[in-house]
Amino acid sequence: MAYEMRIERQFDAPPEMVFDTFVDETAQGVLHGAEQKGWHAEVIQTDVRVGGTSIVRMGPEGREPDTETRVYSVVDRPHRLELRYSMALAESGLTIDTELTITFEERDGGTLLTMVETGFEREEDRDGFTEGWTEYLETLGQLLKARHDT
Amino acid sequence: MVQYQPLDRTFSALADPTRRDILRRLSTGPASISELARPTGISLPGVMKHVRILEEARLVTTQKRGRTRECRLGPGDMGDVTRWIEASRQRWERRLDRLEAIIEQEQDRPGGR
Repeated sequence: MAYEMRIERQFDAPPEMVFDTFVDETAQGVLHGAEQKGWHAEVIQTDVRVGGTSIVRMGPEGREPDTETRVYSVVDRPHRLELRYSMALAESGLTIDTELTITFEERDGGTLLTMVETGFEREEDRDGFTEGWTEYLETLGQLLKARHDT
Repeated sequence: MVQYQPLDRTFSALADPTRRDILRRLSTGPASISELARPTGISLPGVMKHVRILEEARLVTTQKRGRTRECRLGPGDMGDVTRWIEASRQRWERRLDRLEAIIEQEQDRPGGR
C-alpha cells in the first residue's frame, strides 16, 4: 500500500514569481527552515534542469543532518515541475523515496500551487511530510510577500 | 508600572476557543502541529497561525523536528493575567462595599425607607 499527499495553496503573486522562488537557490535554505531557532539547513547544490540534481542538508543544530535530493524530470516554467524526491534520514538510516509533481496555475489574479507526492510506504511519513511541506509553503508565502513589498 | 503589551498579547492569545483547546491539549504533553490539527478539523496552516500567536504570548514553544514541529507549553505562566484580574476584582468589590454602605446610611436616615 502506498500513500499519497496532496496540498493546494493559493498565492497572491503571478505563477512566474511563485515558480522562480520555489526553485531559487538562495531561497532553499530559508524554505527548509535555515532561519528557525535550533535548526540548520545548508544548500549543497541547485540544478533545476531536466536531469539536474538539487541537494539540501538539514537537521537540528549539532546533529547529523538529513539529506534532501531532487532529480528533475520535467521543468516547464512557470507551469509544472516533476521530480524524483528522496529524503535520507540520518538518525534512522532510512530513505524516503517519492515522486513529486508541482503545478502552478494562474487563478484569481494569483497562483494556485498544487503539490502531489506519491509513493510513501508509510502513512506516518506521508503525514509528517504534509506538515513539513505546509510549513515550507507558509515560508514561501512570506518570502513572496516580502519580495512583493520591496 | 504595569506592562500592558505582554498582557494584551496574553489576553488576545486566550480570547479564542481553538487556542484554549490547544493549551489544554498541550498541558497533557507535547504534540506536533498535525496532532493538534487532527481532532479540531482545522487545516494545518490554520493551526500554525494559532500556534504562532500562542508562541508570541510565550504560552507555547515550538521546535522543528524533522518534517514536523513539536509544540509544548511555554514559559509564559499567565501570572500577569491572573494578577490583573485579581486586582480588578478587588477594586470592583470595594466599590460594591461602598455602594452598600451608602444604601444602608440612606435607609437609616429619618424618613428613609
